[in-house]
Parts: sequence; C-alpha cells; structure tokens
Amino acid sequence: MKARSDSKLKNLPEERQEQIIAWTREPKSETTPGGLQHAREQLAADGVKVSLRALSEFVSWWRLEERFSSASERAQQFEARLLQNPDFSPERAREAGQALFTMEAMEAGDAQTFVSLESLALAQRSAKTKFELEREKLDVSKKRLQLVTCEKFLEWFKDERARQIADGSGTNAQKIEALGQAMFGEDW
Amino acid sequence: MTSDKRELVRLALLQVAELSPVYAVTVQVFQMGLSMRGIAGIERDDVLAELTYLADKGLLESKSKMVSPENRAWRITAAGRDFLATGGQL
Repeated sequence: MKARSDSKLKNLPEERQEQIIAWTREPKSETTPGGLQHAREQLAADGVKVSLRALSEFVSWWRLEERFSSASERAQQFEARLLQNPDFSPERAREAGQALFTMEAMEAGDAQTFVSLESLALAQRSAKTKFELEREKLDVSKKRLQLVTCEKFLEWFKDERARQIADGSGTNAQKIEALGQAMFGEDW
Repeated sequence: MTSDKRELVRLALLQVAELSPVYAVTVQVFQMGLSMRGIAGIERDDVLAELTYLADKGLLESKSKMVSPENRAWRITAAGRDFLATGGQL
C-alpha cells in the first residue's frame, strides 16, 4: 500500500513542521512565489519532494492540530483547577473540561464566560459547603452544651451546697452567681 | 454524496478524531474540522451517519455524557489509530 506523502511531513520534528508553516506564510514577491509553492521549493532544496496537494493537506492538518492542542491544554488546566476543590467530582470536572474543549475548539466567544461561570458555581458550592460545615459545628456545640448541662445537674444535685443555694431565697440571677462561685471557685 | 466523497469524509473524520486524544469530539467540531480540511458543506445528519458507520466499524467510540447526552461526542479507538497508521482503506 502506497504511503501518502503528507504523512512524511506529519512525522517530521515539530520545529521542522513549524518551519514549513513559516514558509507557506511567505508572501509572494519578486524573488519568491510565496505560499505553498515557496514551501515546496524550500523542501525540495532540502531533498524532500512533496506535491502541492500534499503540502496543502499538511497545512490544513497542522492548523487543526494546533487548534485542538491549544483547546485541550486549556481544558485540562481548567479541569485540574476544578479538581483542587474536593466538592468537584472527577466526573463533573471532566464534563466541564469536555465542554470547554468543545468551545475552545470551535473558538466560540463565550469560552471565557463558561470558565467564569463554572468558577463562580464552584465558589458558591464551596461557600455553601463552608456554611453547612459551620452549621454542623454549631449543632455539635449545642448538643455538647446540652449534655454537659445534664451531667452538671446530676452531679450538683448530689451536692448539699448546690441544693441549698437552689432552694434558698434570692433571685435567679443571685442563685446563679452563688452557684457559679460555689462550684467553679476561681474559674467563675 | 458520491461513494468517493463519502470515503474521503470518513477518512477525514478519523483524522480529526485522531487529533484529540483526551477529549471527545462533537458533531459540530467534526464539521468544523472537515471544513478546515477543505471538505465543506457536509450536513450535520450526513456527518452523524458517517460517525455512526465508523463507530459500527469499531474505529470510533461514542462517549456517554451525563449533561446533554443528546450532544453526542466521539473518540478514536486504538483500532482507529492503527487503521490510520497503516493507511487502511474503508
């Protein structure tokens, strides 16, 4: 099976490929035909024979490859940023990366908007998670306080001094002050 | 589409898919890719039909998405890469 000549060019080192692209961008002048013809002549001078058609296909392949490569790189960087937050599952991050890749590949103008919206959604989820965590902490503290209160009541009920203060005269505030001093001493 | 053109389109679709090893490619991006490869004016339904053909041949695989599953996307398979590398014929 005959190998296609454009694959010769696709297998060249990256720098060489970039050189070929640079040649194709040469404008026509008195000294050079410019464009694809110029690139073809330069390659021929280097001992590489290709048809204009193969060269044209190579150039269109290269442009597409560059576009996909850039889009993929940006999408992967974006995915990596999302994954730094534990609220973002790998599946969700990949879906977001996939969507960004598609937009970047199409060079759709709202790719940056997408990134901003996803980042905002992420920040909102993070804020919600923090809020929920703080609320959980408060719930735990409240429960702990209730338990300690019940423990102290049972402990102090057995204490003669505490019972005398509770049953004695005086306002509630005075009884609390007296009880606090009696039970906590200097720490009150 | 003539059979020659269809073959050209199929090959070009595989070549487009080959350029995206990480992310799947949607129909819209395939159409753009075909256009950049000098094959313009292929209708979405025709592209979809050829992608399905290539998937049935095992050269592409359709990737499922949780969000908007109606916007299908495809990735090239190992068989698809081998096919391109060996200059296979459809």
